[in-house]
Amino acid sequence: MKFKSLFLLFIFSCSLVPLKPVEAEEILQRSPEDAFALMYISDSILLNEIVDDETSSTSKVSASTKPDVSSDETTDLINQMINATKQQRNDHDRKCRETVEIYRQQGKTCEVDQTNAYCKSKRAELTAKIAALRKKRGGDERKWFTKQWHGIKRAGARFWHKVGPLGRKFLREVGPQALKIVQAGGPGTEALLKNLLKHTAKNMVRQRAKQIGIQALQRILRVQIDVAAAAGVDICDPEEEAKSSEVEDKEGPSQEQVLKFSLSSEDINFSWYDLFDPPEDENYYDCGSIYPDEDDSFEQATINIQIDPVSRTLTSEAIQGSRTIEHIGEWKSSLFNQSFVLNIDGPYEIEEEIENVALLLKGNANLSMTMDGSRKCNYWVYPESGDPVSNFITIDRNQTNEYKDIPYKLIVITEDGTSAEVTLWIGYEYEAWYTGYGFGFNTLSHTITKEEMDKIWPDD
Amino acid sequence: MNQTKKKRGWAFFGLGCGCLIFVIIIIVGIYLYAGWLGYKEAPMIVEVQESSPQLQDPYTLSSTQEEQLFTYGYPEAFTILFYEEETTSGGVAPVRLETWDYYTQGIGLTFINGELTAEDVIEIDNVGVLDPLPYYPEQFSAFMSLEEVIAAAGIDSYVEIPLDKDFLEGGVSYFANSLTFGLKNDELLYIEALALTTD
Repeated sequence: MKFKSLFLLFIFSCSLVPLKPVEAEEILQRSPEDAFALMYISDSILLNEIVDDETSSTSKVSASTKPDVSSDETTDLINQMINATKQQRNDHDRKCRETVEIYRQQGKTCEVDQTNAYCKSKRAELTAKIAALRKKRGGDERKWFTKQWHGIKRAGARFWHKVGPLGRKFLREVGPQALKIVQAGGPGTEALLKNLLKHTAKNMVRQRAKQIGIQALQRILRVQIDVAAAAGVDICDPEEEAKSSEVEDKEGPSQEQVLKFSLSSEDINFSWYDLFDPPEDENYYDCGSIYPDEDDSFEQATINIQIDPVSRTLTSEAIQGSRTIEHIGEWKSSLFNQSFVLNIDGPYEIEEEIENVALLLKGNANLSMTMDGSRKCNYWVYPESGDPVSNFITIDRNQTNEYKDIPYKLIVITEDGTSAEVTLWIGYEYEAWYTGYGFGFNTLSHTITKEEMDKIWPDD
Repeated sequence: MNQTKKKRGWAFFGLGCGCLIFVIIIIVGIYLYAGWLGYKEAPMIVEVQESSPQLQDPYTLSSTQEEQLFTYGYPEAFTILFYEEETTSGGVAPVRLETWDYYTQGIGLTFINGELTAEDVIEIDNVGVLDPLPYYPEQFSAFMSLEEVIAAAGIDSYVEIPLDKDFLEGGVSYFANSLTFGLKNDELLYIEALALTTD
């Protein structure tokens, strides 16, 4: 009897032992990041479902066809959370860049620093969150015990489902069911399913997230500065700002993060069709071709590039080149100097990332082209009587054309993960036929180390 | 002698049975505990069984919001985020950040604590016929509980998706008719009324 009592006491005592550390007091955090996280996961669940839905060419949600919860639906959900956090981080980066740019234009260097510091720490938090979720997803890397534990949880949950409160049912597929209830208002598959406007306006949703985000970020920053000022730390007072500007002038922004390297151009090709065109009148001017010959190519140029991964900007020293194009003939001729100045100084975007294999950055450059010389064009004059007479017109001109938003791409490819090849293509295969000019060159590849590579490769 | 052996045999048998029962109890305990955890973490569809309490502290639209309401009408979709920010006096103050979207009029309004902070153009082709939105922004106020949201919105059924603690500890995402919202520790931080088209 005594043994039985002791045994039961032991069993009940076991049930009293907490299986996780006791928290003294839960601190309620109502941070904007939490509110945003909830917004992004909602978008991710609904929009990804819409994407899947569109891919399968149907706008209606079909009834569940999956057999049971044998597949790990929690992994699907974790994937959604990873996607949501990635989207949150992308939008965070974008609104940070925009806010920095606004402050930079206003000459508020202190606010620029504040924004960069805040953005950097928040980015690190989001990156850590992605890493933790990835670790949790784990796939085959999950330990044996973890897999078994999840198996038991799944099996045991079915029991609780049967004895649980009335009106609760497990979901087999999270996305479709969530979308269905949003569209139809109930679980019945026979209900009239309406289209979610998001269905046709995904970009608009992103725009909303971006807009609501930038308003929140600017307010957070302003509040931080106000709170610091109220506490007696005037972090953005004019004197401090002047000091920080001096430091920045001396050291430049985030030097330890900046990646610098040089590239040499392989060749620089221009095709221009709109140079020195004669005035249009009834005469037909034949100015001939101004296609450059092989000998007319620009010499190799060296490009010093600087990438700041914090503000996601790519800057180069001015790339310059010049050449003389000389086509001399009896009927028509061209002789002019052509020189260009190319500048890259602005934000870049990550167009594509193949994890640990390739990274493709894209942005825009500005090109200034100066042409100085003359062209001799032949035309025919048709008198009222007699044969046509050959005549010439000579056009002398010195003109500079400015071209904005010449696209560039920086390609980083690594084979072994310890170093990477960097190649820059500028204006490559630019649409000469439509724009009247064409321009392109690619650089020789340059090898960077893993440490350099890590600076610009997004943390996942 | 035989009697003693017999008694000892029974004692071993009893001890063995006891150990076996103990092991079975432990296994069943783990199964039930793990199952309960799994149950709590599992996404579910919930049909509301009983009416919930009414909201104690409803939100009142600001005069600016009422002006916009007069100009554009009730929004065709809206998003509201609730969070806290520090104040210069050392405390915290709630923030209500909301966007009101008017797709047919091509405009989106952003308010912070009822103050209009941005007007954005919404570029969308062929919106189609929009269903009247069954919700209004003033139905929802900061940090409402789930029961209050259900009562305020008149929700009959909803999908509940508990979120991983590495994503948001205590976070749960909900989906209902034309509505999605998120709570952390049973406090409303995000709600979005979604536009639906009938075509």
